[in-house]
Amino acid sequence: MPVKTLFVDPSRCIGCRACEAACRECDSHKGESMVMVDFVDRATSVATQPTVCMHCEDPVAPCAQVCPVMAILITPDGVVQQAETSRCIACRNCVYACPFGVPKMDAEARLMKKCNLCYDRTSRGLQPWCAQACPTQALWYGDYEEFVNQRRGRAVRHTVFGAQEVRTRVCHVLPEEQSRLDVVALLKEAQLAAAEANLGFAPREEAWVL
Amino acid sequence: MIRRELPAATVAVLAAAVLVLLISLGSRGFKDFDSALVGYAVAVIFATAAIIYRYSLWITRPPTWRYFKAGWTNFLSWRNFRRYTSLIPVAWWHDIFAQTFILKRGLQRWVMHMSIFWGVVISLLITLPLTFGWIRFTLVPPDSYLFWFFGLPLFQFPIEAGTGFAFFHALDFTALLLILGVAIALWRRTTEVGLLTTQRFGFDLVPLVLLLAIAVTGLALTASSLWWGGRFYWFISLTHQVVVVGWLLSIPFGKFFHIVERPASIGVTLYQTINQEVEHYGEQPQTGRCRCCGQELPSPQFVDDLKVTLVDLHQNYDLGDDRGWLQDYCPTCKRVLRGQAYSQLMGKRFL
Repeated sequence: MPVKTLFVDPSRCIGCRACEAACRECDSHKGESMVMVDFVDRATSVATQPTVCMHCEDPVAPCAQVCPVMAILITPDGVVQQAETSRCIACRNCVYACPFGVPKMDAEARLMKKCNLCYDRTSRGLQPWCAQACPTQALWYGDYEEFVNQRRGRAVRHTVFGAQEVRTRVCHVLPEEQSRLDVVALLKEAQLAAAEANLGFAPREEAWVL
Repeated sequence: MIRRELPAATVAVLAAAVLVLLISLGSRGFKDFDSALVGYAVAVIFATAAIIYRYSLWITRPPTWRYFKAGWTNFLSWRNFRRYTSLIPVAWWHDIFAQTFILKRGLQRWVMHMSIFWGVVISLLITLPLTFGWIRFTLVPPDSYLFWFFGLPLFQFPIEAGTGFAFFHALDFTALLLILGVAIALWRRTTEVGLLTTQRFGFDLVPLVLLLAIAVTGLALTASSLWWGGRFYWFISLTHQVVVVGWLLSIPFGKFFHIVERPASIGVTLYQTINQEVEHYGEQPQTGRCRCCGQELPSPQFVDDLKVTLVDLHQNYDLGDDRGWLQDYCPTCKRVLRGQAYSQLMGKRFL
């Protein structure tokens, strides 16, 4: 049976936060969204990016690996669950180890919370709330074949953070020519482009939001 | 993964041997040992070995070992000893005796867990010494009992008075406490949508059913001897023993391992409070700062420890040049960095 997962395409995100609102409705983390929508560069752009747990496969769940009390369990189909309530001691290792900035910490209740891919729904063949609510399919749920048939772009599971490459269960949608999202290399490019623009080598784009 | 090796099997067998020795000592060479309870005693010995085996494997995981080693080193250092010892009662109060963090999760959950916790703990404090032959009572004519512990006479009390009643029915009271807690837990697990959607049968429900079975069969023993003229006693006691043995042997494998983990992990919270400035027992200044936005992080020591743990796990999030490690950034900035990289890749196609 093909593995269904989320496909995250930030280029389609319009920042409506319907995903956050839908996530907040879930009874397993009442009133709190496990999806985060962030402005990419608030000063110059209205571009936004949704973040869900990427459910890292290799290295498998860094959040779970750094947990000193084994509170973060992984299902046989690779879904990294939020912290087990009887074990979590709020040490915050998972919060700062996660390369994607996903786990949230309720320090008073001694509990880490994170997206668990709406496991109650996805384990029964339904799609997660965020994908259900997203009007632009920036968050889209399906298997790889469905993605290839229905969507444009390339589903990429590899994100590179400097020396560390991380393969995830959840995919980013990138242009066809890209096989991975190399964060540091792209940030360097951006830095270089900004420097060139400042020196007058390249035409500087006007800010989108002033 | 760089993992410290501990001879877990040897440590487990040693622990079981020490327990057998203590049983022998406390029961005066098995003279006071109640052979009717031998099933329980053997199960406790096996469970002890299994728990210690699991514990040894647990503490050798890289993040746990780091805290285990650093926690003991700091506790035993002269510089920190006073801070540790003054914080230990606070930690035990909040984490074990009063479990104030569960109160923050909800009053009903707190009442439920306190009932289950004290029901189990007091029951164990009574039954384990009884099973090991460490406790016994001898008649002091005409109407008193002498309480013996570990072969030593401790005090005398009248059989018919409140003390006697409280002593002989202590396990009935703890069973009632346990039933109250389990009833609340089962109520929550059958009515709350959030729990219904995420609970697992083996991990979340079976433990409750086991505890309920122990409490009910335990009370039935009293009912049989007091009101049913001893009928069904053999069957009930055998059932009770089977369920208790099942529960004991399940401790290392499922949800009940938190009975061991919770007290043991106080070492982590103490180390984090004193050495890493992580807030656990009240506010404390957070000295770390996000490399990008300057938002508070626990402390440089916390981040450094985390980086070393990640290296032990063969993970290296060094971003190169002057960007530091990914762990030097707050969660929001990590997400924004990734978004900016994506934005660079997509250009005008982003939006």
